Amino acid sequence: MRRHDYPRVEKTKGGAFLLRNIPPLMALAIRRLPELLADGAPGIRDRLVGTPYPDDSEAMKHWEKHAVPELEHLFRSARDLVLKDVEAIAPEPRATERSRMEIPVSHLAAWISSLAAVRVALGGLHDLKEEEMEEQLPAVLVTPRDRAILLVHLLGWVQGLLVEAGA
Amino acid sequence: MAETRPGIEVLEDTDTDTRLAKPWKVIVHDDPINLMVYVTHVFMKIFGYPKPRAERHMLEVHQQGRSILWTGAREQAEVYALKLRAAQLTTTLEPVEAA
Repeated sequence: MRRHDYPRVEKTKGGAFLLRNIPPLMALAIRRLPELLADGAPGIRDRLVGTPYPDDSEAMKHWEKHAVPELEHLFRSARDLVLKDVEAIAPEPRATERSRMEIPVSHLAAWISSLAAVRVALGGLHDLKEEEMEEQLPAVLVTPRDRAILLVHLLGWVQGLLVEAGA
Repeated sequence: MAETRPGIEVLEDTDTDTRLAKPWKVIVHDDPINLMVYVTHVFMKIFGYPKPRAERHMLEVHQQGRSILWTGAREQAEVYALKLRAAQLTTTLEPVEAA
């Protein structure tokens, strides 16, 4: 891939973020977000119900009663904004094998946190280790675990671009 | 000497607890998935830390497995924990033990 072919984020005249030059695999990963962020998606809810009081059952109950519903609400609100934007992913006018997608400024935080939710859920589901995340993936992805690692990397790439764009 | 009035009971001996509530630590733990740039971004957004401080905490999490991000009143610590959990960072709250 030549340098100018890399996916990048540009600011539109209207002030939105335009994710451009999205390669096919990354587009595929983005199009899977509705399925990966669905309420019943494996691993998603496990992360929301965790408690910051692992050794205090009383505080844990209090947290579950008061904080978990708020976390679920925050997750769903962010997810709904992301899904709206994913619907509008479209081919690049001059390189139709690539895609582009516009993200309103007000949706940026929702994107960044939703991508974190999916990545962490996949990591938990497949019990991914730090060393594995740093290794080179095999040329042919055979196992669901390999495919999950690829997905975590691709969505991490998107997340990194958006974090930098919003900085 | 306390003045007494008919029908009013005066309590001579009251007990007031003047100890300050115990402070709590907000601790973020390492995980294999979240990107360094993302973790730094979260610390800057939630705590308002400047980038060098946020990066210092991020590196502490990465290298030592955990970092104390903030210490103070329990209510505020819970607000931070909620925000950090919403950002998918593994967070725990611990009371500061008396020295």
